[in-house]
Amino acid sequence: MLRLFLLSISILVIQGCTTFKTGGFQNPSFDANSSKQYALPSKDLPVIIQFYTNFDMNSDTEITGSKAAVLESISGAINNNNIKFMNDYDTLPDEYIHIYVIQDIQDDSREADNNGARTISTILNVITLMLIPAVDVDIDDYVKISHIKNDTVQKSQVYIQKNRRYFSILLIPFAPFFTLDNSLNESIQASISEYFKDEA
Amino acid sequence: MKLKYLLTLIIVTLTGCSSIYHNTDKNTHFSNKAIVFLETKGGSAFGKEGLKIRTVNGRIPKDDFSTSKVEFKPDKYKIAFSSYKTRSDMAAFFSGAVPIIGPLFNINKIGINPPKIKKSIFTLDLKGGHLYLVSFTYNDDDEIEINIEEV
Repeated sequence: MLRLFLLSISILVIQGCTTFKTGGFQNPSFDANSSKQYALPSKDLPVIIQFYTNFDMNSDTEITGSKAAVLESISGAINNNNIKFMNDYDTLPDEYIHIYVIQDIQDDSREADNNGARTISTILNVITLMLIPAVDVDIDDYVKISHIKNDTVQKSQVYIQKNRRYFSILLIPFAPFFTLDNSLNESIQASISEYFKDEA
Repeated sequence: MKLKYLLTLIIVTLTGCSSIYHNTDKNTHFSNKAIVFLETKGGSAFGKEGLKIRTVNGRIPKDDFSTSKVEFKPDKYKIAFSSYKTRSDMAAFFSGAVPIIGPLFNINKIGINPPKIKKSIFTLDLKGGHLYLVSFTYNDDDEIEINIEEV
């Protein structure tokens, strides 16, 4: 029993309070509505952001910061003084880059990967008779980047990054703290980099 | 000891009662499926409310759907939504019970006074490689008004 307990502790310390990438960066084909003969938009165009997370943004301090993290990530990837959330615009410009970020956090009773079983921390949770309260959730980041000109989509693409978040209350002091926002930041930066990869 | 492992096996097997797939699966490429997100307000720690898919083309789905994301094969669907409201499970969260026990309960069973929906049935032409967001607001009569947008 003691060995099992120590093993559980060791694994959870390693997992700590960290977000991991659990799937390859998915880069689907261009939106069928987009023009095939597109030209890459200039990064100087106004950038309009929308952000949605299915976990209420006001209910958790970490999530509350996600909106700021989105703005910061996009500002870091596109050097432009005209980057705002859609709500900050009275009227939309004629031409702009639209970035819609969706953070899908598995906060319901949906089945997880691994044939429906939640991953290792749930099992350890049971084995240790809940001495180590630990949870883990799957998170999918969707980043849709579109170039809009005169209300017409010029080029639009969705990028997907899958992550998993391990969270253990007792082990926070040992955690490396690669947070949800860190993983969101990576997903956004990778998506923007991919979208503009053929930029001259 | 054996009993504990048996318990583990049962719980892990039962964990995850709802599906995010309707006539598609996790191996299907994103360009061949449409993803519908359902808005949730609040969080499990303090109680939450939101929408769930009640019927697709008039039929009740075989598996319960996730209350936040459902993936479809591209097609035209007549979808009926219903609402739900859950109690706070904050106490259970801090006892460590939620990750194990939470998923075992169907969200319908823990629902409290689900609000009325003004218009609940919509015909959606879902396209592959596209994202859709189903959000909601309350009107003056405390009824839910559903808004569906393509992201």
